[in-house]
Amino acid sequence: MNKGQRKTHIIIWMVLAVCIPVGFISAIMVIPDKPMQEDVFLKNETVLEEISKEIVKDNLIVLIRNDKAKTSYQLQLLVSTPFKQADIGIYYSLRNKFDPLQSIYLGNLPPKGGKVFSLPSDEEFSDRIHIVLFDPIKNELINQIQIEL
Amino acid sequence: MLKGTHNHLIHNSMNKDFYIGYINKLPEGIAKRIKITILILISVFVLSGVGIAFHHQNISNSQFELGKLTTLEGYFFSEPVALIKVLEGKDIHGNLIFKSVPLVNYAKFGAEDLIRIYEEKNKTSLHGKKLKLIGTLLYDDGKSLFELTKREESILAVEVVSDYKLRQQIQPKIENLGIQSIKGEIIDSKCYFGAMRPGFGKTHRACAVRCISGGIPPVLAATNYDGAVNYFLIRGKEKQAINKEVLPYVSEPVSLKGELVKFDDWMVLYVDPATGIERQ
Amino acid sequence: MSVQYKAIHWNPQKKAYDLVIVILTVSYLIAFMATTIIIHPNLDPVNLIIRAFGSLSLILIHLVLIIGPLCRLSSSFLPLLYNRRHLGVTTFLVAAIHGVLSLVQFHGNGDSNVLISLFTANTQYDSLAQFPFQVLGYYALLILFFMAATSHDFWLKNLGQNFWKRLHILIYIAYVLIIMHVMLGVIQLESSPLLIIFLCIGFTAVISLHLIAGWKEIKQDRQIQNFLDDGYLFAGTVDLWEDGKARIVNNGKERIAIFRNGNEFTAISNQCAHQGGPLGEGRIVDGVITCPWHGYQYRTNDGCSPPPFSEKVPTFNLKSVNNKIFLDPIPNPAGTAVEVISVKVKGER
Repeated sequence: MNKGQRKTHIIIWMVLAVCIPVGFISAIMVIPDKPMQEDVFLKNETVLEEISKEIVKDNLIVLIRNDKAKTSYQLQLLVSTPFKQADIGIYYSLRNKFDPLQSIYLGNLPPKGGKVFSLPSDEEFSDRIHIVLFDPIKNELINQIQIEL
Repeated sequence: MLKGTHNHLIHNSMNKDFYIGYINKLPEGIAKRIKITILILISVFVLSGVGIAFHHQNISNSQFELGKLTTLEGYFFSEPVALIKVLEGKDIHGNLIFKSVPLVNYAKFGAEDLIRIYEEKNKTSLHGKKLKLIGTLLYDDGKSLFELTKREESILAVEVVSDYKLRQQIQPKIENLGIQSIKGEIIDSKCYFGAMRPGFGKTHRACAVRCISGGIPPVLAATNYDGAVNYFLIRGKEKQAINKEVLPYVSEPVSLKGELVKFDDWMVLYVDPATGIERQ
Repeated sequence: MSVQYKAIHWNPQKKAYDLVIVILTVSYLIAFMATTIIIHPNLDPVNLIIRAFGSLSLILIHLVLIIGPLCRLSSSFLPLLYNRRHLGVTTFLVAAIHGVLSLVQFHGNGDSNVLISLFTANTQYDSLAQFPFQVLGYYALLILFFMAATSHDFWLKNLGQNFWKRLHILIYIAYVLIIMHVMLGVIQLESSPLLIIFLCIGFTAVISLHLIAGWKEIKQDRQIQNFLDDGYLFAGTVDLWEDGKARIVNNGKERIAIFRNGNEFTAISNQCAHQGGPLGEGRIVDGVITCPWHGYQYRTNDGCSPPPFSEKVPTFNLKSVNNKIFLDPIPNPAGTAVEVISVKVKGER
C-alpha cells in the first residue's frame, strides 16, 4: 500500500468502527415483540377435578376424569411425543371392531399438547371403554386404547 | 523468476523464518506453525458449525407430504375459502362432524382461479357437491390443507348430493361472534401449515407475500399468553378475497379488526382492509 | 507475468492452501447440517442449505478480512495471505449458493419474476424493524461477485495497482451490508443470543485489528527522517542493518526500503509492483529482493524483476559517509539502474 491508501483505510475503519456497532445495536433494539392476544377464541373445556383412571399408552397419557358426584366423565389425553398424522380423530367405539361411522366422534386431538373430551354419560358406560385414534383423512387407524373402569 | 528452484533455501539459516509461497518445501519452523494454524482453523470451523446449528429457533412439527399423493373425498364449498369438508364422524347426537380442508394450487398459487376455470369449462358449479380429489396433504397444529398438485386433473370425480337430509347436514355451521380486534401475524396458510419450515417471521416474508399474492388464503395466527395458537382466515367485509390488500402487512405484528365468524372448525375474520389493519 | 499465459500458476503451497479451504468448507457444512438434522429433523431441507451456506460465508468473510491486518502486525501470518484471493473467491461462491437458493426459494415459483419480487415484496425502507434485509444481501453479493471477477492478476495489471486496490476497498461496504443483512434478517427470528454474540466477536475483531494495524502504519508514516542541507536523508549507521534484510525509511511521501546484501547497499521503493506488498519486510534471496507477500522479486541494481518477468519498481540513490548511509529522497523512474554502494560493515569479514 502507499501512504494515500493507508490513510483511506484508516479513515474507512474509523467510520465503520462507529457505524457497525450503531447499526448492530439499533437492529437489536428494533426486534419486534411477538404480539400477544388475550383471547384467541379457543374453546377450553373445564377439567373435572377427580381422576378415576390413569394409564400410559405409547405416546399418550390417558386419564379418565369425573366430577365429585360421578355424573360427568371426561377423557383427557396428553401427548408426550408429537403425532405425525394429518388428523387425529378421537372415537368412542361402541363395538369391539372399530367402524368410524358406528362410533361416537368425540373430537380431534392436536398433534402435541393435550385435550379434554366429554365422554357419554354414565348410563351409556360399560365397564370397559374402547377409545380409538383414527385418521379420517387417510382412513388409517392410529391407536386403540382399552380402559377398564 | 527463480520460482521452483528454491529447495536449497531451507539450508539458509537467514531465511528459515521467511515464507515464500512457491518453494516446494517449507522451512521446518514455518511448516510446523502452518500445521498448527490449520488444526486451529478446522476446530474453529467445526465447533462453529455445531454451535450455530444448536441454536436454531424451534422448528414446527408441520408436515408436507411432498411426492406422496393422497386421494381425498369430501364436499366442496367456496366459502369462506375454496375448501373441502371431509367427514370425521358422528357426534353423540348423531350430527355429522367434518374437517374443513382449504384447497391450494401447485407452487405459490391459490385454488380459487383453478376452480373457477374448471367450473367455466365444464359449465357447472362445484359448490355443495361431493368431490374426489388427488393431491398433496400439508398439515400442522390440527389444521390441514390440500394442494391440487395435478391442477385441473386433481379433480377426479364430481357427484351431486341428491339426498336432502345429507345436503342439510353438510351445510356449514356458522356462529357470529361480533366485532373483534385480534393481534397476531398474517401468514400464508400453505407455507405455515407445512410447505415451508419456518413458514412465518421476517425471513419468510418474501415467500409469504408471493404465496398470498398468488391466491393462497392469508391467515392471522394469534397466540395467547399460555402459548396456545388459533388461526383466523382473513376475508374482506363483503366476503371477498383481500389478498393484495394485506400484502404490506404480512409477517409483521398487526392487529386486525373485523367481524369474527366461526365457520365449522375454522375462524374467519371479515376485515375492511382500509381501516381494519393496524401495525403494532 | 510469464512468457506463456497461465490462469493460475499452481505450486504445492497454493494446492495445499486450496485443499485447506476445501477441508474447512466441507467440515463446517457437515458439522452444521449433521447437527441440525439430528436436533431439528423437521427443518425444511432447502432452508437448511440456505442457512448452512449463509452462516459459512459469514465466517469466511471474517477470516478473509482479518488476514490483512494480522499480517501487518506479525509476519507469522503471511502464509494465510499468500493465496488469500482464493479464499475470497470461495467466500463469494458460498455466498452465491446462499443467495441464489434464497432468491429461488423465497421469491420463485410465484406470480412474479424473482428479481422484481426481491425489490417489491417488501418496500419498507423507512422502517428499521421491517427493512428489506434481502436487498442488502443482494448488493453485498454483487460486490463480492465484482471482487471475485477482478481478483485475477490480469485485472490488476490492466486496471493498474492503484485503481484495482481502490476498487477492492468495496469489500468493506460489502461487510457492512452483510452485517446488517444478518441483523435485520435472521437475527429477528432467532431467540438464541449465540449468533448475536458470534457476530459481535467477529466485527469487534475485524474493526480492532484494522484500527490497531492502521494506527501502527500511520505512526510509521509520521516518522520522517532528518533532511540534510544537501537534500539527502540520514538513513542510519551501517551496523543497524542485518544482512539480507532492509530498513524502511520515510521521505514524507512514501516509504523506501534500503537493503543490505553482504557489503552492498541498495534502495528501492517499499511498494511491490504486484499488489503493493511491503518490499522492505522481505529478504534478499539468491541475490534478489523478494517480496514477503507473494514472492515477487527485484534485482538490487535496477529494481527490475529478473527475466522473463517485467515488473519494476522505482530505485533511489544512496551514498555513504563514515559508515553512515544517506538516501536521495527523489525517486528514479521505475527500473532505473543505480550504483549499488559498497560499505565494509565493521566486525564482519
